[in-house]
Amino acid sequence: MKTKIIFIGLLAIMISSCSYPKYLPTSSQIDVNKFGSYIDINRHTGADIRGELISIDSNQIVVLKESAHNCVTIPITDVKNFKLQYAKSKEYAWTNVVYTLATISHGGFLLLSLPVNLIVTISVTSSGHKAFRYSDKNMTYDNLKMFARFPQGVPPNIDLANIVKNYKN
Amino acid sequence: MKNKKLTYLVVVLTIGIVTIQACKTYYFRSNYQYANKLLHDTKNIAVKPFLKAHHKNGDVYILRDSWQIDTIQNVVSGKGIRYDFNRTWAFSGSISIPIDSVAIFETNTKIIKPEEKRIAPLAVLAGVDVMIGILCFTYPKACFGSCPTFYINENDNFHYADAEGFSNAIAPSMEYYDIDALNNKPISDNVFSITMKNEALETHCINDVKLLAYPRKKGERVYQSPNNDFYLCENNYPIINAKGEEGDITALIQNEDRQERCSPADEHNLSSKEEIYLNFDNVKHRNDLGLIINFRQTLMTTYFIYSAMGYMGDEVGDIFAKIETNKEIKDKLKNGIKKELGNIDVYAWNEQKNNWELQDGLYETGPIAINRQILPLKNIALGSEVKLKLVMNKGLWRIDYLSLTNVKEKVNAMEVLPTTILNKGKIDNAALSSINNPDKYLVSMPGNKYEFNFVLPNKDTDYELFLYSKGYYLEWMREQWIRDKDLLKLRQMVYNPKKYLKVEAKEYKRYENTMEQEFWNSKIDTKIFSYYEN
Repeated sequence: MKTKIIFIGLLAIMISSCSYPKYLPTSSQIDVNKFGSYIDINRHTGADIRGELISIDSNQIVVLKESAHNCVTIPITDVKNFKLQYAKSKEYAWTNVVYTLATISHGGFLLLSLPVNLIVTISVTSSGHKAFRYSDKNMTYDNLKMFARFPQGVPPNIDLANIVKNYKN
Repeated sequence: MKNKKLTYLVVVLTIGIVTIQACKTYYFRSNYQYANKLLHDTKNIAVKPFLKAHHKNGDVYILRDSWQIDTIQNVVSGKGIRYDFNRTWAFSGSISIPIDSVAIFETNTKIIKPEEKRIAPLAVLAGVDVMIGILCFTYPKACFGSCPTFYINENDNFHYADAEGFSNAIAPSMEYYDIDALNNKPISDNVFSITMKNEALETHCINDVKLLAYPRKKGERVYQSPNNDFYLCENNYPIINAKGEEGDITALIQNEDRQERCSPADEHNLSSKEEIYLNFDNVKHRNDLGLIINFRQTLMTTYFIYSAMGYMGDEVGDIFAKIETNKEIKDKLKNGIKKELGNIDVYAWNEQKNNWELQDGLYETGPIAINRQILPLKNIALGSEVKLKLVMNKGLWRIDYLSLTNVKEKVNAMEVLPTTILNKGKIDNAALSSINNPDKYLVSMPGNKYEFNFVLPNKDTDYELFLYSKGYYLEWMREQWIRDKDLLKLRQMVYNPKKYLKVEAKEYKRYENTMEQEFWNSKIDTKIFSYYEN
């Protein structure tokens, strides 16, 4: 059972680590990124909304949905929690496999080195995955504005319907 | 204790590594609605950050680190790129933006080496992995092999294992029973428990585990002979003087203190013999003397077993199949080297004949648990002084204790079967059924441990206890052994062990000094590893 849990965990990390959109900048290119950050909103009502954060004010959040080509508006009161990814995570899932395989050469020591390697590499992978992320736990709605495409709010001359994706997820 | 410390150290190190690289929240972005504030905050920065100017119409300008604010002209200027509200490229080059057309300025502080705290522990881990890999690569035959180990106190360190079962039974057809003295303290209750562990990369198939018990009174002990006879004994005559090739060794073998005497192997011939001379004084009842000897092997035989498997290489399965079906090969494998290495032969000095007379020999495979046996002596000359001589293979034996005792009588120990077996603290009736059925085997995998509980016949009687274990084990082939495949050497080992022990001496000496520590370090901790999923 333990082994199953470990490998399911490993698999989950490896799969989930590939789930962020390509338009996000690397950590070294945050300052030249022209898009809003990627937000995953868990709502009280309805399905989760994921996509580019377009704008936020005291009443609502506008998101350019990743699964469609249109913007949606979500009332702040409907937001249960959110996660915001502002840069691409560095991928460490490979270390789980490589380091684990490396312990094969450890003979009897493997029984100690294997779990240690798994603990450390899973932890590193998980940490890397969460490295460039905020959530409602450490980010206020006011500060969240800074990560929107339009931190000043959607300009009045722009119709939300005209905002389209010109990047691939 | 050392093993606990090592485990503790590893756990602390792991937690430390995990903690060090734990998530860190970066705060790097600032927004400014007023240019003055932006100017103020960035004026003392040696290298300016890139500037993003969010235009009121939804466009964004990204200016390189050479941007400037002209408070007189009220413009921000520099080289950069403009994108429209859909973030499509619109312009690149020199840009001048009226400040009052900008809704918000944005700066981003560079995140310095964000991966450092993840790469560092991986680098440390990689270093440790490589070191362990090199260690195992260099000393592949120094891995812990143990057959089942038994502990009266479950938490005892493996150096204090009370018994190890059937060490020579490395294949089903080589199954045999083994009896080990438990050297137990006086028993005040009729309930007795012993824990069996699998601490190696082996599959243990245990056919039987039971106690052999004989009641003892104060001052009495029961000892087991190499032939598995039991002798009720009294009195104890400590050694007065002992000499080995290195000089006086009395202090090392005078007490049961695990301070053992052993010698290095001969660098030219691994079957070279050595002699130890023992003197006892004030000995009474010379007609019924027995020599008590506490001993175990060094790692020499472990080295031979692992070497043999290495020589088999990827044909290990085929060769073991031959061993199973060909008695001649089995006997050669079992007895070839063993015969060359020989017993611990005990000689007594015959004053009248003026020569050494062979009494008998002792042999017990296994480097872990100390064997405590008696060798009944015969024809000991009159006088209060007794002189004995041990002749044994150099570098093969560790002697902890030697003394003389008087044998009162040969006795028959009674069998006590286990009443319950606990597996992870829970009663395991299937295991008990396997142990009590001669046709079944309890299969124990690396990391497993079973507690055997016994009820002794009488509550107020003290017993001398011996552990009877029967079965065989299968050594797991290690990847690093396969590259040692050398069937000619295997043949030499089996059919010409005398020559093999000479040829292999140099190679063995390479390992001898360091393999001890590696061996003990490579054992499996049953507390942190379990083969079975649970």
